[in-house]
Amino acid sequence: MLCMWLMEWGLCHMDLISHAYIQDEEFVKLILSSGDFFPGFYRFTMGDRNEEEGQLTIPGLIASTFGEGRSKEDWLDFTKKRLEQSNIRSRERSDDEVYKLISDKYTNWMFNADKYDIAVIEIDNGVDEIVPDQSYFLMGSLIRFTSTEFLIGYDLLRDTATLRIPIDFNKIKEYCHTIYGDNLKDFFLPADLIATVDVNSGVVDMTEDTIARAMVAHSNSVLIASNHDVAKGLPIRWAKDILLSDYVY
Amino acid sequence: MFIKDTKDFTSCTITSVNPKGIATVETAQFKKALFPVSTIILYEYLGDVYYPITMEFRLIDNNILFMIKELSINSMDVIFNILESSMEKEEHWSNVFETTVIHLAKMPKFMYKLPKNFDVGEAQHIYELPKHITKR
Repeated sequence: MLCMWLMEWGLCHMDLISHAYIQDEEFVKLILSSGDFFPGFYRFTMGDRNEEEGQLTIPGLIASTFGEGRSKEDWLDFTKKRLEQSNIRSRERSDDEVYKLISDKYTNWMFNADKYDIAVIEIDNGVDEIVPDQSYFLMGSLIRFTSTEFLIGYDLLRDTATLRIPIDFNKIKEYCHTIYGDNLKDFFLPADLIATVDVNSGVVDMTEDTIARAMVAHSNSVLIASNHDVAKGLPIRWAKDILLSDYVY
Repeated sequence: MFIKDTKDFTSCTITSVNPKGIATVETAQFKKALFPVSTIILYEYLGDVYYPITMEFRLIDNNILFMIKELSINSMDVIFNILESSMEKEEHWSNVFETTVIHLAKMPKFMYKLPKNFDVGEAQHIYELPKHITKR
């Protein structure tokens, strides 16, 4: 057992050397234990989320795969406007040096990618039970269950995952219900990576499967982007959003 | 607690690590999780430094890989400056962050390898084999 003992409520001890060699089932349970109504610094809270006027929409994304390519500047016009708003809030920091550092790093992260991956997140469609072969947004990661595996960092467009761990699905499903109960729907939101935009060439990569996935998404869904260049391969890469501009057709 | 077995919504903070590599983990709801010290754990094996994926998900300091990989911050000192500043701005709380590096005898599981140029900075070092501890 990783947690060796409970001394009192809110406190335990953990053997960090054993933790380096954690068993598969414990690892999966630990990841699934991460659901929290407060997502932490530099993460957005899904409950506060709504589509913003001018951000990329599902119809706009699909149209962009068939329409004329547009410039990087056009893709990132909405992103630029949002960054200007968030900069006002960040200036509340008392430490000017830290403010400037974060501002520079964020700007670079948001604007200097060659490719952006795009995920659809069904923010008002949390599930009452988890099922195999469906992906969920959980705490900034896209996870997926199959009948025999738990996938972290799942990418529907490429059918890849950052990690694949063998599981007994029914056992894990029961575990999720034990620790989330009726709150399962607050944390397990149907979601998938459905597109990649090359903002230099203007090419939007979607497959028949991901177009179909986008078209059956709940009416209140949002599209968020991730900097493909630096974030691909990370287990959590959707915790902080980049919003691209809508495609007007 | 690190692995939940009942319905509760709390975040974990590692507040200390003893010389044998036993961490004290405190849990609290996010807004109440204000501790004076927060410890970040890194693992080292054959010269490579790793961050545990479990901690990116489960700890309250759950943004280490975001800052290293996505924001391209290559120093733990800089990360700590940002985290301490954020804690002060968002929670009006002053705390300090520390690093413990566990040097392993075998390849660890479920870890993310950090870039070669990542500067770990000042840290407590704990060795799986032989069992001794040094401070640099």
